[in-house]
Amino acid sequence: MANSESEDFESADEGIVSKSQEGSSQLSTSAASSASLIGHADSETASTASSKKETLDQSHGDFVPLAPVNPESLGAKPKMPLTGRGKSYSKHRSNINNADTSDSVVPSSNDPINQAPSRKGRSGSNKLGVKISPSAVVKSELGPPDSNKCKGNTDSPWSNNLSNLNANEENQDVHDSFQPLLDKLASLDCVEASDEVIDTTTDKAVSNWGSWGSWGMNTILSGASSVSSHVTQSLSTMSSVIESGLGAVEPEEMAKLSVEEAKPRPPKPIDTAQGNPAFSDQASSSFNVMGNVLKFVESTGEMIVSSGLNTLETIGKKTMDVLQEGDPGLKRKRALFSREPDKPTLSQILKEARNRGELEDRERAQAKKATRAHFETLFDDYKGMIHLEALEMLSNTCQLKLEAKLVALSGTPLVEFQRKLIQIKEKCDIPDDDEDEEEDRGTIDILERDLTAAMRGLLVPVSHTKLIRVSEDTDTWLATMRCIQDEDSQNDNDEWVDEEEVSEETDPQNALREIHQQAIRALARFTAAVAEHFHKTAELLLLKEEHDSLLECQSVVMMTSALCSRVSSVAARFSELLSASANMLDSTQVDHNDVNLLITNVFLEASNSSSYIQDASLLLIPVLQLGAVQ
Amino acid sequence: MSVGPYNYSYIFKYIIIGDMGVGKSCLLHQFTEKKFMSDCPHTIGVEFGTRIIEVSGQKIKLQIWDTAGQERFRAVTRSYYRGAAGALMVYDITRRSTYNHLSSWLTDTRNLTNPSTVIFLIGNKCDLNAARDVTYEEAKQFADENGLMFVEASAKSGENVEEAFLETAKKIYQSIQDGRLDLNAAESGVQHKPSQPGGRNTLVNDQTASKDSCSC
Repeated sequence: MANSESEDFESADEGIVSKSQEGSSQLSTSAASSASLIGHADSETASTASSKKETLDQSHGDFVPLAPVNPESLGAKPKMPLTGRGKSYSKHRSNINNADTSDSVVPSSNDPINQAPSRKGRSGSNKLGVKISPSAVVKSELGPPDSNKCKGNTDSPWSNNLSNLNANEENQDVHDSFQPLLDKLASLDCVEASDEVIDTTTDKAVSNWGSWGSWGMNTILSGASSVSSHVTQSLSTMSSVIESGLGAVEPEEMAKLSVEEAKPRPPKPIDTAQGNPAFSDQASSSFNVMGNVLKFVESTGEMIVSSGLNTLETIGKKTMDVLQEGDPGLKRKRALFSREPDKPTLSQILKEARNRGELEDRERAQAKKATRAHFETLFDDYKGMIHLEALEMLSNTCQLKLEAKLVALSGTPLVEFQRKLIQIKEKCDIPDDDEDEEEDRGTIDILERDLTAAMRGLLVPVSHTKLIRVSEDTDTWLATMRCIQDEDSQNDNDEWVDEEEVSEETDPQNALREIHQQAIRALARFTAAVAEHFHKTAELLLLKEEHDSLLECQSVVMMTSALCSRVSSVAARFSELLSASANMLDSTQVDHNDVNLLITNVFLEASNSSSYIQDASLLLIPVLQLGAVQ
Repeated sequence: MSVGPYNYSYIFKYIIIGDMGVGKSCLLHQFTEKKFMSDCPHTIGVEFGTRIIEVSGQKIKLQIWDTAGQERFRAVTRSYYRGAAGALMVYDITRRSTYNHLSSWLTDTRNLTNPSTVIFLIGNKCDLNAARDVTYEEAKQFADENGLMFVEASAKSGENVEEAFLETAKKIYQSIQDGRLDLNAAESGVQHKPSQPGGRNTLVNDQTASKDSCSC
């Protein structure tokens, strides 16, 4: 318990105090803490010691409003840092869970000052924290006097001057007999020390370095005197109690502080002063001056330290508040950070999260790539799917009407009716192997010729300009690519072009993928146009009054095969482009398996496209049949 | 299969119906392109428009079937009602005849769609208030009597166009939330996209299946 407290102290002090002021700040820290705590006690005179402890434990915020109170009640100059220091101190206390916080404060701050002159002044290497540990033992014994004292303070908020005056008078009489008691009290009243500093100090300070013991006693006595004046009424009660606690206190620590304080002075006086309480008598005449010096140093250090500590503390407190929010005792968070072998550490979790993120990014990128080259999606985007859907709905309507007619018929008309339906269906069968008949099937000219003939046969005012336009766009793109390729191959032959430069400019794999993507897009766009064309044809066929069903069937077949040929032709030309591009590239740059996969995929989507077109033409059959039987 | 490219979770099918020249295609164009098409050609059969909107944080793709208003296409367009989640029934406030035909359009809609289909009555061309031939009140009364949502809009100025499309979508979405509209029913007019390309493939498969049945 005590250890953790002292560690806190230690680290806080070390972290913030600059080296030159180390000693003074250590001392001032204890002084400040006692000051603020006393101040706190002042403001809460009515409440019991235990309730004070609760306040301290529960909310540090209590100290903030108290800040203005402290200086007033103590007659001190307003020093905000005091409050801050008190806060931190109280926090240590509350962490330790010791009996009574407000009680414990007094002796602990007492110890250092009190023992300084009487014991070794040299053990400067010891830490302040070590010194405080015994105070934890003491504090419980000191409960009552402390509260008494606090009351005394509040009852009579005297001014500095008055207390100083009193101190001078009383010291002479009292300090011999009450030496131990006063020693103790001195530390209680360190608050006062900071009050008197600034006005009196500097001039007097220089001359009084001579006696080490005198300055130490000086502090003690001046502090003690003012305290004693505060508490005159209950002096006897207090003395007994404090004395009882006094024995337990470790004096070295305070001595250390004193040494630190005395650093600027030559080391010799320290030696003489060491362990020599007799000095106090000699020095009694000049102790006020020394006290002022001490107090000045103290208050300056205190201001510096406490403002820094204040900030640190606020940060720390806030952090704790946030951490503890919804997690009292930090149980969950501790569990999280505790390194059990099977539980993943934070760094592992973060690493996994990052890996997962990267994987997702990759997948998304792949999905995006797949999307761009995804035939179905593009077909849908070009509204091919919805036209096909609408055509299907029309076709279904026609089918229903045919079935209705079929049901209404019987005998010879039924047979005749069925014969007609079958005839139409047979006429609409698309011949399989007529692709070899013409070499240049699939060119735009042939396509346009066939389409025009087909539409004339169907006698519907559906324009095929969209189909032609889409085809022209594709041909233009292919021609451009071929030109680029030719130029590239020429450049290669010339050997003028730096090959590295070329490979840096365009990633060959990307170029091939771009061609593949363009192929899929061209096929999807063309197929969508075909779906729309068939859909419009069906709608207008249904509006027709008179039908030449056989011619219509022939026209549909002609149209379908022309469109399918076009699709094959487009796929073939894209594949040629792909393999030509791949051949131009160095075999180290391109995986030919990838190229083959791309080419295969183009042909696959081409056959997909062809089956859409044939599906569309099949959907026309009921429309044609309905026309035939009207 | 990788996560699909769909950035929406539902598809709602709308159908726009009404007499020729009431401004159906212009309403659609205003909604999808935010532009007014001054000389709009007659629609042949049906045309399509799509736009993705957001309702209650859900992205919804509206697939809008803009039908031909010409009487000769009436038989053809009747094929397209099936499976519409929303029907926008449009008349021209400056032409009473288009208002008078509403009951016939409404009958078609009721007969050819399912009961959960949201029907929204739109009095178009409300920018031509001077030439008004149908009062707001009587149209409102007609809408109330038939349980239709109603608004007067202008495809030219864009007034209330968004509202009509969005309110319809909200009503449909509400029906889904309430469970009145069964997503699994074939003709709900709503497709739920669990963000997988499978949705589209399903459509193709359905088509193939039905094609088999009709081409025998």
